[in-house]
Amino acid sequence: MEKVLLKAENLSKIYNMGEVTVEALRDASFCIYEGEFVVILGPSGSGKSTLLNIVGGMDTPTLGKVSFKGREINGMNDNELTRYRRENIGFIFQFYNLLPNLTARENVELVTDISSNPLDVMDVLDKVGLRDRADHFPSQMSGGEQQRIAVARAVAKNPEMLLCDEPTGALDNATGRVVLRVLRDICRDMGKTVVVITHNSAIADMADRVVYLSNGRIADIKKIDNPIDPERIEW
Amino acid sequence: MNKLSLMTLRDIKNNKGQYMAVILVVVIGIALYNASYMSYQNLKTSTEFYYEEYQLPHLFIRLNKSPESIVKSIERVEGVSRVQGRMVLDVPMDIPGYEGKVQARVVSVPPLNDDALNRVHIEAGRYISGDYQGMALVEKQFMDFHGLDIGSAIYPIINGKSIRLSVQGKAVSPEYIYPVPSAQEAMPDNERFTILYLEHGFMQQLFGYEGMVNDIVVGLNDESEVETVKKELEDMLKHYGLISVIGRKDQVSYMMMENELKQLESMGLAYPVIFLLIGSIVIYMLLLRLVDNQRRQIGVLMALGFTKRAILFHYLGYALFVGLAGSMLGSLAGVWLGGALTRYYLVYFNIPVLQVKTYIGVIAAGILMSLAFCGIAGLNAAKRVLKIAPAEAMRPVAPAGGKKWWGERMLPFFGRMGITWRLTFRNMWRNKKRTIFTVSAIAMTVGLMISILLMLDSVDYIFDKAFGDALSYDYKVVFTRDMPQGIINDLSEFREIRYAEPMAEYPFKLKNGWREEDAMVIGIQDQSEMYHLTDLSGGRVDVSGEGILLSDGLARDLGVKPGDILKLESLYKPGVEQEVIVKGFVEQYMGSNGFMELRKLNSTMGEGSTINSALIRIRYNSGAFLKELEDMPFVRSVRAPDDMVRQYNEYMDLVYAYIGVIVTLSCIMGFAIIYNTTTISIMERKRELASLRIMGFTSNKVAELIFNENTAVSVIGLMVGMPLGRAMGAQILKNVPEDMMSLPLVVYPKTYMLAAATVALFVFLAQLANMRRISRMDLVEVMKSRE
Repeated sequence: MEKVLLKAENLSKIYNMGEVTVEALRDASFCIYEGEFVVILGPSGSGKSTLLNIVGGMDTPTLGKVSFKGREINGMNDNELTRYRRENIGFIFQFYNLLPNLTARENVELVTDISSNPLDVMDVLDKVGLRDRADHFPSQMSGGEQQRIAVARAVAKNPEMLLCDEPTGALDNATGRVVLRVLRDICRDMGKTVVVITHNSAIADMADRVVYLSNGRIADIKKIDNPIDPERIEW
Repeated sequence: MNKLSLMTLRDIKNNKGQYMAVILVVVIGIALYNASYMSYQNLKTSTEFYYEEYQLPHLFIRLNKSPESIVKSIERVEGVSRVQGRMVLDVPMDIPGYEGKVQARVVSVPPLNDDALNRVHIEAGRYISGDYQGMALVEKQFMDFHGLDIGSAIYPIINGKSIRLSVQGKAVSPEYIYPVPSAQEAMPDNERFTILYLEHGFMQQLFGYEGMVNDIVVGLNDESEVETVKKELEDMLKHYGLISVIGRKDQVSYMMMENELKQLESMGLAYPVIFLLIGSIVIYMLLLRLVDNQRRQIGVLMALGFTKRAILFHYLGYALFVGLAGSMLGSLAGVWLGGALTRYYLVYFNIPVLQVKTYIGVIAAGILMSLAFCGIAGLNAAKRVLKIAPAEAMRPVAPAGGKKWWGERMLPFFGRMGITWRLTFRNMWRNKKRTIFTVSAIAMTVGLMISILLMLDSVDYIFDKAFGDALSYDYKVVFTRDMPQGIINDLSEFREIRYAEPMAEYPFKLKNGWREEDAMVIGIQDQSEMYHLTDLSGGRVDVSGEGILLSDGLARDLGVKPGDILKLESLYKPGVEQEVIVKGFVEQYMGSNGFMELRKLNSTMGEGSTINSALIRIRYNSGAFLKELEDMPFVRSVRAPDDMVRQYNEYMDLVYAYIGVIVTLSCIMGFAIIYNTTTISIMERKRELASLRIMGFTSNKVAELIFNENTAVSVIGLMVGMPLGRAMGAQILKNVPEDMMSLPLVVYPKTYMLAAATVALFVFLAQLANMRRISRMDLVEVMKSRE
């Protein structure tokens, strides 16, 4: 029996924007299991980012509960949420968001400096295949390389779960596949849970499970029996 | 190094221009602070040490020629530790190679210097010793001015006879750190005033004072007993022809030094605080922009698990870096500047034991002050980090609420302006906070500049008033002693003299109840043609008839109003007292005097028509005339009002240098402010500006948008800064010691214009420096990058 890592129950998020209220998430419930590769799929505006932010401790739900390893996170204060992110979550963003003033290695060290159980920085850079780019600044690297450094940065602090927000959104097919492969290796070889949110349905084929999101609701959750190799994904 | 600190440093390095500009402002503030305080400390400890080591007396007694035995009786007064009887007399003097007459104050000194009160410091040569007949010590600055050497001959005129003396040593005394004859003539004149020191016995013999003294100096066991001992001595010496007993604080040189120190101390804090205040405003604006610009980065750091506190400190680090770098460089500059400034003071103040030290405490206080100012500014800007919710930080900022501002809605004038100007004003309105801060920074800069420049206006004004309007004589002739009024007729015999008018000046103690002031009372002729007095509203006043006119400042110090009775006690003829009615007030900018009709002054003094000076107007000037006049045995000096101006200008050199420094620094600061706001404004509106460029605006047109805003902000800053500068100037003028001169608050239009021109210049330069940012903007890159 797979172990539940994260459990979301009846999540709702309502934004008040002056006269209009936007319901970004409605009554969403699902589980994420340890060591699996999950893709959360949905068109833009379906509530993906909101969901990711709540799960990652960046935002709080208006209604509902989120628990991580049995511990509720929706009631946490600012400091507790910070600690939760620091210890358990590795974020990967669409636009990489490396700190422009730091080299690749320093970007990774930025997080290993503050985490309690970090991995070796150079090993991680090896894992993403960019050991030789360690002393380059982000502006000296291609988009795909920057994204792999961002992956290294997320992994290096040795979190339980990687949360990836459209990780290939700004990349071309070939480099996108390289990044996806790195993510899958991290899941398979290192046993990390990886959650990718995307609007790109092709990526769903490589997942263990797919959560379909539409208009803030969970439309379906599907288990994939034979996930394909990232190299074979076409879009 | 901690990665966040590394980011801070690299970020600063990538935006050097901006950070250098604000660091410069801090450097200036801290350098000024260190320079002023170090000079203050240097001068204070040096003079204190000098007074102590060279035994400056606590009390100075002036009396009429009295038997030397009086010294013994003063020694017996309780609290007195040392007493020294001496002679102090002013005589005219000639020196070879100099046309004019010198006023020499001859002071007798004991044969042994080592244990004397007012011990003389010998800069060159040696103390009078062995055969002291014909030997004199001469005051240092005078010797330097005239190039006199040891062995040079000088010719004081004593009792009508020219006596040859030989210079034995170059001397400095703690009594004459600031060598001026009296509080009334408080401008140093190294050309025509000096102090000679003669051995006591020799001087008595020379002046026919055998066994007599006219001046006594007293040292006390305990300085706190000055007032008690002074009272006792006044009572005791009443019958010996006492003229005055004064403590250190009323002694001219001591008083001038104290005033200087006081000013240095207050300036030492006021200006640096203004600079730091402006520096912190710039930092605040810089960091607000930085935090806004790096919102996304803040979001990333939060996602990575950094606490808000860590991020807050990261941004605070920028401010602390500026504070630390600025204060360290500023301290270095300040220590150097302080040494230079202290030495510069030696041009005016004779302090042989000057100690130029570096005070660690002063440096530390400066660094702390700088960190406090920068830190508070930084904290206030960085604290908006706390308000950012992590998820929100990752989303682009909603466009700022653009709308017409009330000016446009209420005043049709604004609505009719061209689109660039309308945008300018809307943008200023949208960034109210920044607009207000920039305006106040510019206003303070302008204020600083005007407050210091108006000193020049005020001085010009007094010179115009005091020497242009009030005094219309060509020369003032001062006699060595009282002369019968008939002397005026003798003077009129000179072909060159067109008109001569009698005048008398006597020192009095003016008493109104418990309040008393020492001042010169000037007796002038009824309907004087050369000495014009004006009342406070500028109308002509005449001295004729009973009563006394008082200068505004003197009247205030005495607390009298017209119609009050004032008691006059002569300091020249002890025992002479008279009550007079206060007739009115007159405006007087230099000095503080009472004025009476000459005849009334004579009768107050209980004597016939005697005078001690004359005002003359000449037909033409011949070289020989002045010399001849000065050489007359009863003439002590001949001065033109211009001499005073020249003398004053010399004294003002230090002030001019200070003014120059402050104005230059204000300009640098003004540039730093405008440069930074321009940069901020360009960075903030990159997308907007790039869009305009893509739509077909030329880069000049786009620059206009930014520059219009600078112009508008500067004009408002200028308008606020002008009255602010005037008000600040009024505060500074209050610190100028009043007995020397009272500076009216005057600002000429040219000063305002100069300030406006300077602002225009630095706005222009800042725009020039930023033009490249606009013309080289990479449009594609700007549009591609996500906010």
